[in-house]
Amino acid sequence: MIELAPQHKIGLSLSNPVMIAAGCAGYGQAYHSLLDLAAFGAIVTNPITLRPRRGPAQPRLAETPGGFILNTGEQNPGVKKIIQQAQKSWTNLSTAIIAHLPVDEPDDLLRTARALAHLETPQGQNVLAAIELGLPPQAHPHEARRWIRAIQEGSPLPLLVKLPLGTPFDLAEAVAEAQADALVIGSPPQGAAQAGHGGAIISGALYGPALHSLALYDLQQLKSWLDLPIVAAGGIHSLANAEAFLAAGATAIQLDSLLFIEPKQAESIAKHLNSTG
Amino acid sequence: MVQTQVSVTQKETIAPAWWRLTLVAPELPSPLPGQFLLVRCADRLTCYLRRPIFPIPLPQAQFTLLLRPDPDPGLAWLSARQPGDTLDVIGPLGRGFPLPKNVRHLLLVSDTPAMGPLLGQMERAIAAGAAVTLVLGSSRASALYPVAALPPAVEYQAATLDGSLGYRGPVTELLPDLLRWADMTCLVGSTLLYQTVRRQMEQARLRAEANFLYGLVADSPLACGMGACLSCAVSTPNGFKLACVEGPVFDLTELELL
Repeated sequence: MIELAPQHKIGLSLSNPVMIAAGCAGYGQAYHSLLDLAAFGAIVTNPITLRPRRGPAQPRLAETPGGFILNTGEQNPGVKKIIQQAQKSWTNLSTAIIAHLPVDEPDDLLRTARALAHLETPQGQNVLAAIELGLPPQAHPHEARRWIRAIQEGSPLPLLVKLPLGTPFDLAEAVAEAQADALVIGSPPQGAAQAGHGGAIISGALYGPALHSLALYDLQQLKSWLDLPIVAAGGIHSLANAEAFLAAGATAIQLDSLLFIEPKQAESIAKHLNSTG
Repeated sequence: MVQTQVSVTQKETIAPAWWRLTLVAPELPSPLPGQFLLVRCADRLTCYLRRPIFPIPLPQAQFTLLLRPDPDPGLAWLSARQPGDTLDVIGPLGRGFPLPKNVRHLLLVSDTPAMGPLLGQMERAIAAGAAVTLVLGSSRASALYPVAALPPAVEYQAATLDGSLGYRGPVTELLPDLLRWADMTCLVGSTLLYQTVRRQMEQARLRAEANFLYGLVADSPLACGMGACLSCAVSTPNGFKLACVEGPVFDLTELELL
């Protein structure tokens, strides 16, 4: 067992340090017919916002050498519909579910967090294990404090804050001072690429194995600055990548685009680290 | 749905630059025509993402793939596979073409060489005793699926823009009478084809008839195949649908064909 929120009254103890990152397993059920989802310590959901977000028209994806650019515009049907569609599967999954909230107006964040935090199983337990707030690139410390405060007002659940890769010290410090329970490092960087031969150039999140080095560098920085549990996320494509994050001091890790390309390998990394953890 | 290895057992050249790969897949649940597999191609630097392929089901845990020269490095790699090679696939994924029992007249139409999914639907309908008409269109005869490879039970019509085979003109000009004859129509091709045939259906059948006109949406990328990455969103009047799980075969009356 690992504990990601030791100072929190509910806490966030996971049976396995291997999580699935936001955007890589839908609202929890995407891989249920292929993988043993109980092998993972937690699944972070796709984005959830108060109101539906439609997302951009095609093209949304452009392959790059060893990766891809993806822009979904945080497409989601809104918190109310997501709860209607996913609550049953969240209750039935034996894996912890963490809701991912992208930034929004503080009042909307508060209402979204409140709607999610109040979900209970028939036995009266929380359906969700925690909330993860995703900060955008170039977020300012004062904005981060407002967003964190809004979620904390709406939800008593543990709060993870996902930082952009390359986060400066003042932002990380502001997040820690606002009493986030754990940090996640980090959100994929922004890039642009041409979608197919002669296609449009699209901008969006860059995924691929190169992210591992960026996240490992940031992990080392954050460990030297702050004393908070850290979840390392980005570019894990092998057991060795996962173990490097843990060896560098990450309490847990998140797998991302490996799910898309080699889902069974993702499951096998989770099973291996479960048995040796 | 499984992630498994499949083996190439045969490679045939059915016409110049038209190859048919036969594969044996003992652990793969039998796919429906229009469903897809995600196949690992080449190396992760040139082809990070798996490529969607559309198996044409055969009896005894086998399927075939129709291959053509392709600028995509993944599909080019696939075209170079030989008997004895193995492929790593995930599937079957998505929703294929339906074939209700009451369909006695099936119309199949394509304006692309990538019309393989229609061949599976054709075989399935012939086996069910339905009359099948296949209408293929292209700029020239060499880009049309070779007629010699079609079974005798299928009624075949062709249209080429240069008049090198069949009717000279767009394939859709062959369709008005056939759309009155058919109980169901399946399309694989361009958005322009889908837009035109939907309009023709409304004229021929006097309404936008549900459960009549199905199209395989192939221009959205099918990256994860699981409804996770949202890269394959297709526009509908009620918001986006995901081609990888709610398609790639859609009732075309449900889509906004932009």
